[in-house]
Amino acid sequence: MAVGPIRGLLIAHAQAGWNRSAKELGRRGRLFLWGILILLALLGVVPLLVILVVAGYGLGGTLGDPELGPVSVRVLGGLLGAFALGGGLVGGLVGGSKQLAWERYRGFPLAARKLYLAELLAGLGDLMPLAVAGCVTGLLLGLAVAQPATLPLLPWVALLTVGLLLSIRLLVGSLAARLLKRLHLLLGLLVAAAWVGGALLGSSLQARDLAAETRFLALAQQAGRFGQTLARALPTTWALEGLVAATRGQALRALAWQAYPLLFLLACMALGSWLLNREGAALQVQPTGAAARLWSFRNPALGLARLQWLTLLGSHLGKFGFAMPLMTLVLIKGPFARVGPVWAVPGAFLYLALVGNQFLFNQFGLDREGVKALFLLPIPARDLLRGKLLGFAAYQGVQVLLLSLLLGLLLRPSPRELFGSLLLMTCVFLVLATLGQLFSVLYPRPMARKSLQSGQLPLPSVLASLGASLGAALVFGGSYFLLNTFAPGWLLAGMAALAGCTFLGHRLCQPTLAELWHRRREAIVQAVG
Amino acid sequence: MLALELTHLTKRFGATVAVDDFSLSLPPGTFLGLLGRNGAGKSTTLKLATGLLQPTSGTVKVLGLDMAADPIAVKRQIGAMPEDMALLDLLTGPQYLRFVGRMYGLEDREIDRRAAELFEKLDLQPGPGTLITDYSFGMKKKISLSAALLHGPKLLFLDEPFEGIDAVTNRTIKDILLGLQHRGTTLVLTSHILEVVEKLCPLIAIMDSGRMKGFGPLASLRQGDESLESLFVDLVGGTHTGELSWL
Repeated sequence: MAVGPIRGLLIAHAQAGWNRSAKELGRRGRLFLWGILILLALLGVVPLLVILVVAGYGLGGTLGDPELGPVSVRVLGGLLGAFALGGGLVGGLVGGSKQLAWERYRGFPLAARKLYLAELLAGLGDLMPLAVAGCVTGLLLGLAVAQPATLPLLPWVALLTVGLLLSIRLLVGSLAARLLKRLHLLLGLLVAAAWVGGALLGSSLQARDLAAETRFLALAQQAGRFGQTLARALPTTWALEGLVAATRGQALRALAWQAYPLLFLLACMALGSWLLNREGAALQVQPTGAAARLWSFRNPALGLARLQWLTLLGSHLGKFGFAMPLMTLVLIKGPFARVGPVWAVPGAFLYLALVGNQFLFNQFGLDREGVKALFLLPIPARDLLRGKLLGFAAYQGVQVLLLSLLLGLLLRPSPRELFGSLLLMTCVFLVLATLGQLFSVLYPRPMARKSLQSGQLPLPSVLASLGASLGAALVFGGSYFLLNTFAPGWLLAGMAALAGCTFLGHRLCQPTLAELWHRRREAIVQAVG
Repeated sequence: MLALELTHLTKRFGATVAVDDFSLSLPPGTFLGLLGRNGAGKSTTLKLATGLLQPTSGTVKVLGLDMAADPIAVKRQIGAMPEDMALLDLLTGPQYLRFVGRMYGLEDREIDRRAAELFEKLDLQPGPGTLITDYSFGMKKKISLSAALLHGPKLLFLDEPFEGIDAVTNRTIKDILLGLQHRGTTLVLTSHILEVVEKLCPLIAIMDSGRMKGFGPLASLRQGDESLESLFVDLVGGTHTGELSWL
């Protein structure tokens, strides 16, 4: 019997992933990584799973209770909804979009819906959906133990949650990619969002300035009521209401509760499939006038910096980076709202420095075939690496400007806080860029220019970037904390000294990196070009 | 029934008109050479005919089937070797052919049998486990051609199949293509190598700026013993001298 197209696509996708890891890491490297992953799973995932099973059991036990039951349904529904909708939204925005090479498959006699279904299933191989699937399984396992009558419906609830996550992720990823094609529109929306955010935050800060604790509480209650209404409207909550009906032996009612979640899921899938299918016609690359004046021969490194800048701007991921300052502010605002700009400002800059890792740890990824041209240039390797660094610095510089503008509008930090935080970011950037150059040379991988898919870093680079981010945040963030707490007058001088030392360290590493880059030329061209 | 029927095909990319009111009809068993300068619209026409792009206006029909109405049925009938080859280069050659065969509904045993024959005929002997990304350019061309032939298409589109191919493989591919034509397969080939087109293709179409400039049997297009190169240059209007001012 012939293998069906969906299975065929998934087999080819799995084979390609397996072959790539074998090519990049070698057999021993792959074994080593598997070891690390198993260790991480044992240390992190298993305890988390146990906690979730217990939580599921606890919440599940109260499902039939007339008083606690509705609350548990909303809590569980909200949790599953956050996994599905929140995970899908964040996943789509940060680039976890398509796994399959759709462009390559368009020539085959494949129905769009089959390609879409294969894409959804392939998405399960990604880290976030895999983690969410694990968490959902844990919660529902606990629930199954507490309420065995719900068992027949639980696989559906798990499928619904993971299906929603995957379909919303694709939907948001596709919409974000469309938006990025219209940079002016994106920037317009950013300005509008910043204005609305500023107005909202301004009113909430004003409320706190009046020191009216009661008003603050009223706001919190209002937010709580909104949250409850939202939780009730979530498809996951409706699915759980069906479970409650199942515990009471009302099978038909239990099934009726599933109609809205099913329709919601099908609508997301239909819209996503339609959008992804339409993307094909728009794949033709349009020539732009931006490359007309590409080189500045006043200094080779500056010319290369300009090339890097244009390469970043020409990619969807690079354009999307300009939305990061706003997203940073939104993410930072909550946790740091109560401590004010003293910690919110360095927190925002630190976060902004860390989100650039996908570029810094794969600095040749966007060059693709152009990397061959770089090797042909009569330019020393050090100049080339310096040019790359300057290009990335210029890119992050614009992000810093946007963030500073937003922070200035919303949090009104003092110049000391602002410049201290800028120096903190400089330190972190230099460390990540230096380590990133090392891993870019060791594990190069092509990056999609016209896609938001960023989850393409090789696993060693992912682990290194996570470790380096954590280390840099601890060392430099800790220094900032100590200086600001015990010697605030010395904050700027201390952070400037640290930035100087980091820059010196970067310069000392450059000859070694240049030598390594020179030796790995062939491997880089083969991997990226 | 016509093997291929392109009617008033137009494709615009923004303000650029890549294919402009292009019409073409080919009966089964035809071997057409599609010629044109770089950017003339040949590859875009092939992409439109294979369903990789949607036309701005006009229709594509393959063996009486409308591409817009039933693209899946059309794609089952055709094989394509695109210019950029569009391979899944993280698979090995045999893995890739298995994937392609599965997409056309072939059984694994049949795929392996056909793949072995193609590998032998095209002298494609990659090392075990070698990924397509590590193949030479010529080997990639061969695997791309193998993929286009695997399911036995009735209509075959080949975009620059002889570019970067050594002389021996060149001969093998020519023999395979002529054999296909004798068995009734319709072939559409683009190439910049005019000698190859002259020898292989009884029917010629010349494109420029997305439009058809000349179409018919080579003998009827030529004036006297004019070469294909002269005919081509006359039709597309190449007038530049080969001198560089600073040399």
